Amino acid sequence: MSVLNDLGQLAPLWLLSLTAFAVLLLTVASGTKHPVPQSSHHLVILSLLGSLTALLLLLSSEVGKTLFSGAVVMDGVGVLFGSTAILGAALGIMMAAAYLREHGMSQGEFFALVLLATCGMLMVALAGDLLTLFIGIEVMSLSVYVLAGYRRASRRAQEAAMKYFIYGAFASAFTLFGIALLFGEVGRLSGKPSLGLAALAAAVAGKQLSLLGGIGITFVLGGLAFKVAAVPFHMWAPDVYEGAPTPSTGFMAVGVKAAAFAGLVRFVAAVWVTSGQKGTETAIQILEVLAILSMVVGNLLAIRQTQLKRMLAYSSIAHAGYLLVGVAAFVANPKGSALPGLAYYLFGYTAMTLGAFGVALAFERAEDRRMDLATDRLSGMAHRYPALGLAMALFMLSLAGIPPTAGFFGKLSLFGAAIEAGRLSVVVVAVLASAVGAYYYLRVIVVIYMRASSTEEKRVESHWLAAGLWLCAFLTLVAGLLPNSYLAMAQRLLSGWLG
Amino acid sequence: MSFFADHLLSLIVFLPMLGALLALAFPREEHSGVRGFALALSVIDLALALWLWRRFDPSNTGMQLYELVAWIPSMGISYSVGVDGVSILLVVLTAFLAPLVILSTYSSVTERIREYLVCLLFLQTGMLGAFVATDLFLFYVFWEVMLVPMYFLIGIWGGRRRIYAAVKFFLYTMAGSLLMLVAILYLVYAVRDQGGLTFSYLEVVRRLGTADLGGAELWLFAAFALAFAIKVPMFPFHTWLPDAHVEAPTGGSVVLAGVLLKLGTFGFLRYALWMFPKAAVVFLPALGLLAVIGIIYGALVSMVQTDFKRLIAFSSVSHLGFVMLGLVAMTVSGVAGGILQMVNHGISTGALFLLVGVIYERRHTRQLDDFGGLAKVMPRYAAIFVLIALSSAGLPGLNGFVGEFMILMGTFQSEGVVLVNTTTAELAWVGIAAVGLVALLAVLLTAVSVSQRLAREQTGTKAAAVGAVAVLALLFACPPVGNFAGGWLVRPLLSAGTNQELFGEVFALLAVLAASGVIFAAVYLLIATQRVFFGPVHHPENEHLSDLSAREQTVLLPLVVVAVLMGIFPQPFLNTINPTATAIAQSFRARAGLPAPATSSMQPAAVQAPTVRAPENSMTVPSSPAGLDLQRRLPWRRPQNRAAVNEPTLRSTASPVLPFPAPARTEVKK
Repeated sequence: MSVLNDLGQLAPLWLLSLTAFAVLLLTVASGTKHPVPQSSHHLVILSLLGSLTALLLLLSSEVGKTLFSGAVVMDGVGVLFGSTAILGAALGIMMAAAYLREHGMSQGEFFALVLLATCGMLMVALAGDLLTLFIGIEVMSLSVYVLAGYRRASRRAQEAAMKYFIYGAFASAFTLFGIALLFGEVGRLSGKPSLGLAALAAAVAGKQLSLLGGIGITFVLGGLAFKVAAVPFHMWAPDVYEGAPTPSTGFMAVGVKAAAFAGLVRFVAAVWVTSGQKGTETAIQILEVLAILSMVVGNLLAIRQTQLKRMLAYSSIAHAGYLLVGVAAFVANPKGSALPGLAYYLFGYTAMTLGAFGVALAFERAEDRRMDLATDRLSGMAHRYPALGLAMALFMLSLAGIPPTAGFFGKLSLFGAAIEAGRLSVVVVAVLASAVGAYYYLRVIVVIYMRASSTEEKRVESHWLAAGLWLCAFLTLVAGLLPNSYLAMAQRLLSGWLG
Repeated sequence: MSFFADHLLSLIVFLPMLGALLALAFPREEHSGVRGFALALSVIDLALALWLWRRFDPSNTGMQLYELVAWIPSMGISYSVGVDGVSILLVVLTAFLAPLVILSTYSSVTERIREYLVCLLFLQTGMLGAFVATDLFLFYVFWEVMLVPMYFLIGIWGGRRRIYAAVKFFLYTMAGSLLMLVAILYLVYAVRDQGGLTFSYLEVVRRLGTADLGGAELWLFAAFALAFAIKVPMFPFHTWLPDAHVEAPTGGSVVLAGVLLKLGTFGFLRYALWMFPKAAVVFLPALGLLAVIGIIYGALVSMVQTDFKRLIAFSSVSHLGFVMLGLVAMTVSGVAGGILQMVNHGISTGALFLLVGVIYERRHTRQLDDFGGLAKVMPRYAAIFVLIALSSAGLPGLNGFVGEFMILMGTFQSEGVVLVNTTTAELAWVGIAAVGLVALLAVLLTAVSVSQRLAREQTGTKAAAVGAVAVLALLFACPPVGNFAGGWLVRPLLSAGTNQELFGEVFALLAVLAASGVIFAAVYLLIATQRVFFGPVHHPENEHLSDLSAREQTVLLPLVVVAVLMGIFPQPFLNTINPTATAIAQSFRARAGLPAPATSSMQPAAVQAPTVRAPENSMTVPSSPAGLDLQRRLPWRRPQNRAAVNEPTLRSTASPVLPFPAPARTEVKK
């Protein structure tokens, strides 16, 4: 009985997978895959309905429950980070629709893969033990690998998918190895081998870890750092972001990041923040070094990029760095405002990043074999398409952290949490890095507003894309102006966490 | 009606933004409608601002027309605005310049006029908001929001190198303000223990009265000071300003010089100096020195400019040096003069940029050499220009004189930072050091001007010269380095202790040096006037330039009237400023452990702030006709009665300007 009950609690998860299969079946039933029928709104609507219902179910679910004897935990972290991933999926689907039609790619399969990847992300967010965490990561990653190579005809996309897959497989192998080592370590320390995060927390609390246990923690951390694209595990990101079809890139940039940070928070909480204790200085320093490297390298390399998507890839590395500042602050001061800040930042990041990719894909041309989008091709775009230009300016300002946008308030809450935790020096590096970052975001605005338009760029016309962009712009602005409702919700959901 | 009266400040701040959003509804190609709309809106805003001034009670030195709404209670952030004697005139100035700027766009901006006006209106909301915000978070939001429309104004409607100038402007300001953001966050968490997290300015200041931040206070002051020093801009952070001014369209230049720069000086007074008096005291002599360097440097560089806008831009560096000098002197007339001079500079320099815009529209050049003899061709224009140039140069009878005189007097009166065991030899050292510094500066600037005359576009030498001066200035500005390199000057400043002061001498010297800036200002403005307006008409193109149109006269005459009015009848303005300036100087000195300020005789006894209690051993010299007791202030002749300086009775005057009870707020629930 309890299994059935637990299954009921997991409604968001299986609703997403059911929707994915329904979308697939409908695609098959409609028969023609190539060329794609012009009016396939039913697929978009079905996917959106499925994901939005899942989002509502997740948000209304009862927090603080442990399901399947600890394999899944329904708590504030899962709900917050998971809902951000679902939001990213829904927005990604809206923006992808017209692009896929324009570029002659099947919509049904794409949507199904996005929904399945979201299932994986939700699993990561809700993971109660290391096995669920790993399976979630794999479910998510496998779908995303396919999404990265979704444009089969393009060699660039193939290369991107291959690169992502091989790097990812390595990362997964290390993660799995780390999990195995930790399994043994828990057994050694407590006499009862277990994969549960709670058991891990109980076992390592106040004890001296063995060398193998330390290696296990390092490997799992490395695997997660690979997924969030933190330096020095970031090498794949620029190539994959550039090569993948833009809707895949957008979804990947936000969803994978949200899920991986949920996993990271759970893992560091279990290892270092057990029962509200203050984390060790070493752990905080490791996280801060990762953060500083990501912020500095990401921002500095982004300056040199001429391709919009590649620039956004480096920018996403930098943003992983800002988020890691928050994770380090969380370890240093678990009861502080770091965790709500992280959740808020990812929420805002989802809106602004998907928005930026949405504008980019509106200008990607079907005949473009290389799939790259030189920033210069957007020259003077804002004067031909004022609304689109304004939206892009808003997203760029938000990414740069200019008030009153979500990007600004996110940075403020993360940096505030770090200062609250007494980590001043890393915040100084972070603000200097974001000052550097402002330069390349501003350059996009320079290009779209201050250069004369060279060629008449055609853009993808779609109501779905327009709606998605409006929604992203709305969320970016409103979340920045009125962040209180989200923060209050996050604090309420997280109040019971960590006891 | 009472709703409007209760939310007058919010109305003034957000009316332009509302207008900007409505302006977007106008058709793109049709210009006159949206222009008229923006103009009408800005006139209404000005009327509201004047009403605000009427309702403002000068004798109340605290925040008035205060509004408070919880905004982000989970982080202790509220929407709260208020106006005091420092900000009221700046609000009025901002609202006053807006219609003139919009009116000036009728001919100067021809394309994308709707977007231009939207940017101007958004900018106005940002600036007004930054002046009236009484919440650190809200202030920071307005402070940064301001950057965006200004960035667009320079970047889209600017000149040839507009993109470079726009990005430089944005990044310079942002780099400084991000460190200020860190300081704000550090500050609110540092004072958090005393009743929960709050960003409320008044509450933070109240808590700072009892909190001991230790060494962090120095860093916090430095972070705030850096952000504001870039905005002012103080030497050596001024390099963005000439670029931004030269490339910006006329309207952008007017707003930039007229209002935006004031936010730097305003922020210095309201935030950096006011929140951290103990740390500020350590930096005051260095800041004063930088201000004087800025005055002289800006003036000297102005002399060698060939581009009219660049000339005015560097003159702004010089003029704002005066403002900063008055503020850091922290005497009643220094602070009051500083505030008044902010308004004066807004009027004069705003008018100068509008005037340059007038001939630029006719000739599409700003090179001084391209003109000459314009007084014959455009007599009305020449008359107004000469008058405004003289007001900028500080001619008695016009507005600039009042502010500069008060600043110099206040600086000369300043005293306080205690130097231990000052001997005549050390005083001599200070004198030699100051003279040497000025000599060095003069040599460097001669080199600059020579190299500029040799090669107009060659910037390498100039950069080297600027760098050398900057290094030198930093040497003095940075206590550890200064202590090492020039211990004779800086060491005594740091060892704030018991008996003797040199601060007065330092500032008296600075006042003397700064006074030379007034002469330089007359020189560069008169040279420029002479080159443009007098002599024969060299260029045939200039022979048939049309004089000011009716619209241009409408734009310029209000500025002329105000410049004259403020020059011969400054009392209404001083009445608004003086009580607050008195309270600021007294409370700052009390909290910083400096002797009480000498009061200025320019302040009638009738407007003495009733809330301000004069400290017992106040050094007032009310009988002296100009508030200047030269005998007492002569260098090297020290008054003897300094024993009570650090007595606790003085420290209790920390809150005369904060009559508000701490706003009730919801605390963060843990």
